[in-house]
Amino acid sequence: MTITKNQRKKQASSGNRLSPYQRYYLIFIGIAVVVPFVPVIIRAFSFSWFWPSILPTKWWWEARENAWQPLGWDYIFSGPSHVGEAIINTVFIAIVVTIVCTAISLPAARVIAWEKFRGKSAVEFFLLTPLIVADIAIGLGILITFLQLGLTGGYVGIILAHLIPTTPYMVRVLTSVFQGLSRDYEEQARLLGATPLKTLWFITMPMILPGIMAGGLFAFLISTNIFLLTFFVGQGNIVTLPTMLFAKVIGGSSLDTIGAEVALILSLPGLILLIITERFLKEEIFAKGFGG
Amino acid sequence: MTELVLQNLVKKFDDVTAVDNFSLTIPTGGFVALLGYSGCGKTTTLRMIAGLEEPTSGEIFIDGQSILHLAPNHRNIGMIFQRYVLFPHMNVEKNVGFGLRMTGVHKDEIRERTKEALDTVQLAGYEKRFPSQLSGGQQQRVAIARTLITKPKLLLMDEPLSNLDAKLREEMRSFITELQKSLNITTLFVTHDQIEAIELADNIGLMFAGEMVQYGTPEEIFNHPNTPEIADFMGATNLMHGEIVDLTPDICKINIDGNLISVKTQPDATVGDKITMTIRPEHMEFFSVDDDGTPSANVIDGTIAEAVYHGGTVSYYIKSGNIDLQSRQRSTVTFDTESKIKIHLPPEHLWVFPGRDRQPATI
Ligand SMILES: Nc1ncnc2c1ncn2[C@@H]1O[C@H](COP(=O)(O)OP(=O)(O)OP(=O)(O)O)[C@@H](O)[C@H]1O
Ligand SMILES: [Mg+2]
Repeated sequence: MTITKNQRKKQASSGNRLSPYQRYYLIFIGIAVVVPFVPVIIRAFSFSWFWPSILPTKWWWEARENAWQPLGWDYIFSGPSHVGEAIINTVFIAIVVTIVCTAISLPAARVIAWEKFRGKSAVEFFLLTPLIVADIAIGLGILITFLQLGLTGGYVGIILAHLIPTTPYMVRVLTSVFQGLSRDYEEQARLLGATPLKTLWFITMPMILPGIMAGGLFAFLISTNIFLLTFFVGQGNIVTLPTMLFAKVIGGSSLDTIGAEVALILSLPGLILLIITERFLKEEIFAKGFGG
Repeated sequence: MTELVLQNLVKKFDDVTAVDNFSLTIPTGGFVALLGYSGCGKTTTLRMIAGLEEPTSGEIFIDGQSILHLAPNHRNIGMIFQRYVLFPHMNVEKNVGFGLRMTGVHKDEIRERTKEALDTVQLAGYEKRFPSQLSGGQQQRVAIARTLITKPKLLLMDEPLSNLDAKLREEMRSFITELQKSLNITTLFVTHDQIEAIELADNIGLMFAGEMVQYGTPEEIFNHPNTPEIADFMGATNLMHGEIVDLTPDICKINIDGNLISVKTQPDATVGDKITMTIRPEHMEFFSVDDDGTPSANVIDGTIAEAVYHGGTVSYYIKSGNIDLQSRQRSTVTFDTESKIKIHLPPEHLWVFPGRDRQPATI
């Protein structure tokens, strides 16, 4: 096994040499992804930064010593900023959304992938509509309904709202996973004496775990980035990183230091999750997740 | 002790009738093979017995009790799938012990019985391997161990050997026969390979288009097929049409394309009946035209149209007037293409099909 690992490495380094065209293309993509972040990062560590200077005239760490109140990151990590609360809210909501979304999507995907029924293509299309209809239309729609039901201003309402854009992704990912999974495994387990629930737990779940990971990562990332629905349904009662960021930038023409810092923090949950799941990504589980 | 009874089973998928009015009884310890073309409904029949498919109508009894209301996990029926279906995320030990874990057997007993089961299939020492690290034959044996460990009342096997190479298939055939006999477990085995069915089973059920067309011992089906289609499926492609011209209580003379062929008289034969008969390719005897030892009766003239050499045998395609015959002979005696020969059709190997205008008559 040790040999194969080395061999694989060798093959990867020698076998996948890029053409110059491919290399330039990758560099271009890299620049396109990273460059927009640069001003945000600089902004997050600056105190004063004005047109037309390329770098800040005063950095945050130069200004903080003789400031009479917490500046920049010091403010972020101080109580009154509510950033800690926003992080906790964002992550908590995202975790619950991911779990509930998986629980809803699993049976749906299984049926769509394995069963033939009348109106199947209609159901599949219907599942995609949240991706087609504009956020704001959905948001206003739910707001009216949720106001009636008294679901505004609380976690339950926000979590329900977040399920709308996350579930279509999850169902799609899991459907293609189930399509690649033979029903024989479940049937064999049943014949060996397993109840449907035990079959789900001991056979189906472990076998589709890669798909659940991929779908879960999406659901989590989508949830942590939702502004509009959270803002509408939360009614300002519940502060998350996106609502906080939007509050910071909504009126102003430019990104201030605090806003830039919140933006950076907002990217953290995804980044951390990506690192955690990196092991799975390496094992081409992502590819499997989309294996359709 | 398990007797399986299928009673008028029907399964319809939308407008396709996969299984049609299918009845079968397997006594305790019996080994029956379901034999038929691809798509004739063999798998569907097994799946209904296992509880994976609900019959459109009909009944399934085990020891006199209907099992239709039972979920698959309560039927205690073992099924071996064509593609083994080992759980890829579990090693051999976990795979084999799965059924016992699901039914809450104590850990120590599971270990004990897993070891026993792996011994039975000659895979001791493979406990920690994963399915992907096993050969096809080994995977199949793990699948068998995994099913047998739960002590099923009934064993269903769906073409379990079709994914194995020829040599391994031979080995597994005798392995399965021995195992089945030693456990005395009632077994229904599905295959589309007639040799496999003949070698393994006590009885063969022949299934065409969802219906049971003949049921009997391998010998009956092989030598006495009910219809030309069955004969063809069993590899006897020779069809001869004729008319009964003379009858004595013992001998029945048939005119076949101008040749007078004798067979043993069947009870309700009458002169003038139109019949169809067959002979298996390996049962014809060839003589050269000038051979003095040629029998005097049941001999027809023929010309060899084509000869195909196999390993130890030669297939001859023969024309005799309007009759086309196919024969298999030991390759020591060889006849060239176009050569004229005399063909002896031994009366004991001629088989007259029973049927509406094919009068029952035999041997
Ligand atoms: N789930 C299903 N939906 C619709 N039709 C089906 C279904 N399962 C089987 N059929 C049809 O029923 C018929 C019998 O299928 P079955 O799988 O029982 O055949 P089989 O004898 O096992 O064939 P093979 O030797 O190829 O495995 C076929 O025409 C098949 O297309
Ligand atoms: Mg089949």
